[in-house]
Amino acid sequence: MTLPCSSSPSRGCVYQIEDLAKDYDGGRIQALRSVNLTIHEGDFVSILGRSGCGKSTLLQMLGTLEEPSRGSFSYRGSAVDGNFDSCAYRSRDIGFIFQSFHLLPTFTALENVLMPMLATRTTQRERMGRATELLHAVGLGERLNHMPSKLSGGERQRVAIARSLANQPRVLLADEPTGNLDSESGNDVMELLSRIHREQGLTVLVVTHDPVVAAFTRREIRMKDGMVVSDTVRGGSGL
Amino acid sequence: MALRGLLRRPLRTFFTAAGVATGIAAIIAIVGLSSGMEKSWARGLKARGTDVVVSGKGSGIMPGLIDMNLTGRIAAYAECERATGVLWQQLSIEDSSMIVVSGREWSGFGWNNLKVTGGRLPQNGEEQAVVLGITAAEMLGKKPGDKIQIELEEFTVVGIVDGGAVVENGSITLALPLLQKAVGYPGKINFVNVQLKPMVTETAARALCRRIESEVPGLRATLASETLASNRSFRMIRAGSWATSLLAITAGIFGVLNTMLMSVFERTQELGLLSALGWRRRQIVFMVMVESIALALAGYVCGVVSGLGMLTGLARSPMLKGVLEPYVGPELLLTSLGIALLVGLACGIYPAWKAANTSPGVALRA
Ligand SMILES: Nc1ncnc2c1ncn2[C@@H]1O[C@H](COP(=O)(O)OP(=O)(O)OP(=O)(O)O)[C@@H](O)[C@H]1O
Ligand SMILES: [Mg+2]
Repeated sequence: MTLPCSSSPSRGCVYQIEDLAKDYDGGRIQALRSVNLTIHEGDFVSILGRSGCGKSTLLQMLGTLEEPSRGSFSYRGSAVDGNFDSCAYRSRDIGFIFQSFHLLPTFTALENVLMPMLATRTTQRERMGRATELLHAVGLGERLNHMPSKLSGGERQRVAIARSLANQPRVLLADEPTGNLDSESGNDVMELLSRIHREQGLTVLVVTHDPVVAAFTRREIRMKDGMVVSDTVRGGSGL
Repeated sequence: MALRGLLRRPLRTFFTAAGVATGIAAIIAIVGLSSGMEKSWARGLKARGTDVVVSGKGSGIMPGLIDMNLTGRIAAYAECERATGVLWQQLSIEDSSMIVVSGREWSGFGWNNLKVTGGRLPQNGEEQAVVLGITAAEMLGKKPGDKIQIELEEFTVVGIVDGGAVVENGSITLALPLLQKAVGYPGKINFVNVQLKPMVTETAARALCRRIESEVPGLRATLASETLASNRSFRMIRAGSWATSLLAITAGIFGVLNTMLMSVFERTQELGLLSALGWRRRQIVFMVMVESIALALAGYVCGVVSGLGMLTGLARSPMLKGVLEPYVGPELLLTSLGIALLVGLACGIYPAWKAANTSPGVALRA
């Protein structure tokens, strides 16, 4: 059993992860052995580790894209199990950012940002307004109607970040958001995520294998062979 | 959204829609041809003022020959206003292909509907003369005063007539005994056209048909509007035309299914992404279904247009000119629309199910 969330009474608990494990190929591959973690409201966390240590697997399970083989976790106190409405959760509570952006190639930047909002009850007007505003906020106000193929890698990732914010999520899950970018645009993206975290108080989880990227975050979780090996908070402030 | 999916591979979409279009065009053209046959026939009879058709039983589309004395026996039924005998033949005239030649009792009502547009009608039943329907005249290139050879006999064209129906306008009309002599069937006819008394209802007319059939062996009696539909050969033609065109649409079905499956497989990542963005399964299913149905409907629209084009072309062809006018009624358009929708729906279900079950985790790892 992990420590109850009350270990950090000042802030609410976003994820409570207990003995989470994931096997592939009928148990031959143990991508995640046993992970115990607590993620607090407003945390800015990096999950660091070598290739294949299970970082993406952990993030995908938190995003309900994969089901755990063993163990469990809860989101804001509700168990994420068969009764959990994962569609509503993916739509409203979390935003995903991927290494390879995953923009829809046949849609413009603006339309890509609109996509998550099509699953919600909003008017076309509201959607357009919000999408335009978000693209301006990530510095792409001049690129609204560009196709993804006409954007640079850094710009694409910024579109993806705007998209992840479309439904005003409370958590961002980013899997190697800088993995396909040069170090300069990688820095821009991390600056942007820091700013979002700072200004909007979002909980942000960033998976990376790059210590430079991890340095942007306040809390650093290191993984090895499907296990958490260290969990440190930088700068001592705790926030 | 769905349109964008289809337009991503415009060529593939085009060819798939063309596949459906071929099937729909086949339905429109082939079925339209056979229902046109039925319609033209009924209209021709109506134009002659015929309510009930009595004919000899025959195995083919042409009824067997009957004795012309039967006309009197039919006319004796209480419901009949009058009856007239017709010998109806399809003959090759001079160097033209098959033309309908209709020998009608001179005194019968079969002549009443013919409006003379040039020349005159024969003076009497003995004059060695024929009149040509306007289309027939055009096809044969004859005008009043010209000679025309029918089998063994030579006749003079004395007039051109408008019979008010395609079959009538495409045929040659002459007095019954002259045709009987020319083709060597003296005293024989194959149709008795019956005009009913004005008060006779459709139900009564049907009852009369059944009575004639049971009382006079060897005869078939039908309402004019149903003559062809009740003909066994024609029923086979019609069934055959549906079978052929449904076969054509089967090819379209596999096309749509293949395209939709490919499109779903190609977009595994994108579908996984939509699911990761919180789209519900039913929204993904809906998107794929809309795409599939839009594809089939595009095919339908093109199919109707090209089917109608083909029909018009066929109707103008020398082979069919004057024999029938194609008929595409609202039922046929609706039926084929239904078929197209069904194709879209049926071909969408499995791909949509596949799409909805895309595992976002696996799809997004790439
Ligand atoms: N769908 C799958 N089927 C089989 N094995 C898988 C599957 N997904 C992941 N794995 C395996 O699970 C292990 C952990 O994978 P994961 O993607 O979580 O690693 P990672 O830490 O994100 O690595 P990277 O830094 O290279 O992205 C790897 O050994 C991988 O091969
Ligand atoms: Mg990874």
